[in-house]
Amino acid sequence: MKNSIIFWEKMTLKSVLSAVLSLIVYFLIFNFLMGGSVFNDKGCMASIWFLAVILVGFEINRKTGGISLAIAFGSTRKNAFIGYIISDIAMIVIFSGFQMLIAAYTGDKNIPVYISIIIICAATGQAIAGSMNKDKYMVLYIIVSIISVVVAVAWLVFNYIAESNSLNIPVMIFAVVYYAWMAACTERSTRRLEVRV
Amino acid sequence: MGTIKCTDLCKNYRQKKVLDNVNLTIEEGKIYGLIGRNGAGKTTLLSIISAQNPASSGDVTLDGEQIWENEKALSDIFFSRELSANTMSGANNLKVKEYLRYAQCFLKNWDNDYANELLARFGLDKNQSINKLSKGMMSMVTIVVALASKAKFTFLDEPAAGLDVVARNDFYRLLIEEYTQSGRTFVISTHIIDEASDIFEEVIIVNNQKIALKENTAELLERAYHISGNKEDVDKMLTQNSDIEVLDTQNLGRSKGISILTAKNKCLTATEKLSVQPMTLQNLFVAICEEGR
Repeated sequence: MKNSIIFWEKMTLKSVLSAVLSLIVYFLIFNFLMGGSVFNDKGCMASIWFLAVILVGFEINRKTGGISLAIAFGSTRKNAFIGYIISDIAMIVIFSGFQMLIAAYTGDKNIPVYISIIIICAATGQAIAGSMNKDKYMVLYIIVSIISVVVAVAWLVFNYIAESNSLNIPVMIFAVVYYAWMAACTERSTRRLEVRV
Repeated sequence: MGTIKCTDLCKNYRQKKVLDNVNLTIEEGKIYGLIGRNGAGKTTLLSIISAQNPASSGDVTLDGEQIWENEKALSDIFFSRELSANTMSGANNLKVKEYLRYAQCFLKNWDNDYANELLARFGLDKNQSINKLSKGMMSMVTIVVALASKAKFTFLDEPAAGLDVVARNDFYRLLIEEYTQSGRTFVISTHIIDEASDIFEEVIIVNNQKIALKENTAELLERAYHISGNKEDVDKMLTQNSDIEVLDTQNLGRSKGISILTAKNKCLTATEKLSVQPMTLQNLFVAICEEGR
């Protein structure tokens, strides 16, 4: 178990560092394009943030390959999964922290929904990884990945164009249910995982 | 003494049967050669024994304890898988040094100094990505990880694949050195049979989803012969020696050639009418595969 945690710490650290670096690059580019006024433009900040959460999903998806690698190195499936989920949640917490910092600058009140969308992206990352297994659930994983992106984009549109908060509660409920479901699917597939390294 | 025991192991990939009631015992302190045709189930067998893949049915135990999800048992077993540039995730996205660092996390007896020494010996660049390595270099990485793992039971899948002759010799020498010093158990699957046969204490032949043969290599080769001569003389010899197992027969006009296994401790000598030649492990393997067709 301890070995599994150390392994995931190393994998997560790399994923977080690369995602944070990309976030800074996005910010600088947007700030340059907006003539240095990026903090004053909520839509612009939201776009930066949205790109960042796509990265979270991407990094978590890439990291699911680590479950296979951990088992190949002799970890039990149970430990590989627990380590993975801990690192997954750690990434969500780190990015939620970043989001809170951004929100503190902009005075945005939508933090719980932002965090929900980070959670949706984490679950989508797992769904994309699931779809790569080319098993009988592949189509299902692709469909739910698309649905989750549609939900996130719909919320952005409602919030910033229609200036409506009516999707806040549904998005938060969707995030929790979706993440729990994806985590259960990942646990189930880890139990019968055939290692390919 | 640790012993890995497989009992009635079966594995199906959907409708396709890959392993069919495999029973196998792997004892500590030996070098085993695992040979079989492409798709015979060698990698599947090794991956099931190391709990990387679930079996469809049957048991794998180490000293009587189930290996599946058993942390203690798994810490003594390491299967260094063949790396592939085609997989989408896992080791492929890593640099060599990252792959070794992750191996270090899990393998309790990992010897980092030895790993670095092996990297230098094979001339591998630690900072290179695995998916940028050539086939031979990928094999070198799997060899480095396998040897430096210091696991009691170490399985290698096609470690010589893609290696040039110098690197292969280096590998065989390193393997013998490590085996002599540590007495670890190695199971090595390979297609380069004759070259590696000298280092195999025992050979396991997988054919038609089953273990066709498992025997001490020297004893096996002592009773493997190719006999050729006039058809009548060969047939007469066969009727006189009913304990001979004929693996393969080739007829050419009035001549006949047979590949056989004699009973243990039974020697055959050439006569005026019959040519009796000892067989190499590779020829014996081919004969067994022909027999199973």
